[in-house]
Amino acid sequence: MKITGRSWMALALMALSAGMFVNALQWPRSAALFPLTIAVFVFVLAAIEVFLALFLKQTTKEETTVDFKMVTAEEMDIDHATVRKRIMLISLWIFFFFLLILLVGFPVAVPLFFVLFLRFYAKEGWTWTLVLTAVAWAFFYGLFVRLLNTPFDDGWIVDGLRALGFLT
Amino acid sequence: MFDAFIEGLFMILQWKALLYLLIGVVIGYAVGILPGLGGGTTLALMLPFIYKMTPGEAFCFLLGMHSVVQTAGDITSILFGIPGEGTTVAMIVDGYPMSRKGEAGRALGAGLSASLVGVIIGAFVLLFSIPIVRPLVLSLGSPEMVVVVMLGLTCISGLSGEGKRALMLGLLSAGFGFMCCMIGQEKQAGILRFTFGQLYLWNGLPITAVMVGFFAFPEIIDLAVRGTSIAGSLPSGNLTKGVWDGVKDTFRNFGLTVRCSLIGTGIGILPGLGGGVAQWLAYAHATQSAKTPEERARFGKGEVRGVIGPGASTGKEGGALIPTVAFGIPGSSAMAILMGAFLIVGIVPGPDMLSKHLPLTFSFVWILVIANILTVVGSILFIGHMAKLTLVRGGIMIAFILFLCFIGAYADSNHIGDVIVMLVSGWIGYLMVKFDFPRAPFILAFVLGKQVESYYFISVTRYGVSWLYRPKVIFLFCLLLLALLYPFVQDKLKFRKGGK
Repeated sequence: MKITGRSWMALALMALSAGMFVNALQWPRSAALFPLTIAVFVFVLAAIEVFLALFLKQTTKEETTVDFKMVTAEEMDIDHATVRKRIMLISLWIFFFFLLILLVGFPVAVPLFFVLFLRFYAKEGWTWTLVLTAVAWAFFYGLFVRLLNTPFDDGWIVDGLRALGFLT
Repeated sequence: MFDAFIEGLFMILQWKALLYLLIGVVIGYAVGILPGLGGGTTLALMLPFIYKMTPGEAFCFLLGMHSVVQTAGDITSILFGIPGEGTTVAMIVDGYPMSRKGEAGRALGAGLSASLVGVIIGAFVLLFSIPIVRPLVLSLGSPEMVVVVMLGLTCISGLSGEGKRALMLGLLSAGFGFMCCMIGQEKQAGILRFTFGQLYLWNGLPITAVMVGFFAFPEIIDLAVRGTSIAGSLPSGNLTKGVWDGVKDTFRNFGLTVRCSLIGTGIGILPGLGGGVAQWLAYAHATQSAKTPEERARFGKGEVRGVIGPGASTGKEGGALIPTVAFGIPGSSAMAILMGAFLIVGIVPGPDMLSKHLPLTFSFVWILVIANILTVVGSILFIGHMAKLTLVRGGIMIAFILFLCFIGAYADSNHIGDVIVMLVSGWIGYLMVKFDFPRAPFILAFVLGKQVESYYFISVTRYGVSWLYRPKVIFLFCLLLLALLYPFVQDKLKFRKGGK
């Protein structure tokens, strides 16, 4: 008996559907009808999946879904620790981009992220880094700022400085 | 009638109309290529520009733009594994693996030519079918629509994998999609469901952000793990070699192309189902075309028929115009916006379109065909350059894809919450791919959930339990049962073949 990642996901779905069912009982019939139906449906299917995975059988190779398949450590001939490290690293960069957007807003975060990412993650030379950053920023500014007039927040730093009276 | 058909052609051959058509095609192409910028949103943004145009010019501009969005969106799906449009997700399943194998040129050739065939077939169905489909569309009530969606989801769940277990995972995935679409304010009683006190969640989860995260993140992580370009370390010559092979593939599988075009057209006619459903059903049909389990196993790993099927589903553009033009029932959200355009230029969709404005109706057929010929010919001419994008170093690619994901999610409603939703969806999408939960049923259920809930509520409130006994519902339930039994029969068939 082995609890796999899929079983954990099925367990999470069981918990979510149970929570949905309990919540839906407090709503009027019009709002509760569909959630109740779906919650029961998902709970039963997830329970079957957990039961099958834990007590009967894992899926065979022939029973996999038709969807995008991620590359495995074996296919790449690298160890699992390297794969985990690469996933962790790209996740941190994604989070860093998000943090930059929150702190300084899109107009500053985009060029800053491009410079840092291309230079330190992609290990590109300075020339390529600056050229590609300029291309990305020109595209961003031309399309979203000038053409579409998309409103962008200034970010927490500028907002904070403004609140403290350093900026007007 | 033939005179009106020719008059429709001359309407768009006037220099001003043709110029607007070209502008529309260029905008539609750019919008299709860019993830996150939706065709519907762009249509809405362009409405203010048509006030001073004649009806012919206005529709050259708007319909020309709208009709090429999916064709262009397929290019992004094939090359980068990100849906250029919400409706081009199914193209990723086999198109992107082909790019990874260095067959981007072949995949683009097949996808674009199938798309052109699909649009032409859809346009001609639009031409000939209005008198036939009218009674059919009007006879489907809410109960039938509930079962139609259930049938669609079951088919996709069953066909999104091999065996009974895959069907169950698909249905579970669909159930999860329905659960996610329930977030927000409920329509009937105005109850807030799972909004956790956040005003942002009142309108529910944004579809664009969810889709961009769901489909882009697993690919970004995959690129980061591999540390190479999308096509790996293949020589560049391999990429563009197969363009004409791809075009030939479409004509080698012409029966499949025509059938998928007709599926697309049929889905387009049914109000509310939309292009995403059309692509997935066409894909599901393409997987059925596999004659042996070995052939079937190639789907999802870069099978050209998995590109031709979704590509040909562009027939939906013609199909979606049928209920919009003839009955004033928009076949999709984009068509609902297009209906607004009808009113802006002083035309009321409905029976008048088949009598007083017949040349204008016929001009739609020509617009669909000409706009897509321009797009496909232009794309094929530059396909070599586009396919070379798959050789760009992984790090550079990730930077641009991440940028497009963030800006695409944000630009939809200019709210940072969309970026957060995109990030969360991205991680859920990654986990689903990692643990073999098919994403297609989730997306379909998520997109259709609100409508299904309305249909379901109307059916139960209006008919009680008796909605289940309506003849058409029983017939559709029988089809549903067959779809549920399919994996069991599939096992038996496989056993027999193995025995032989």
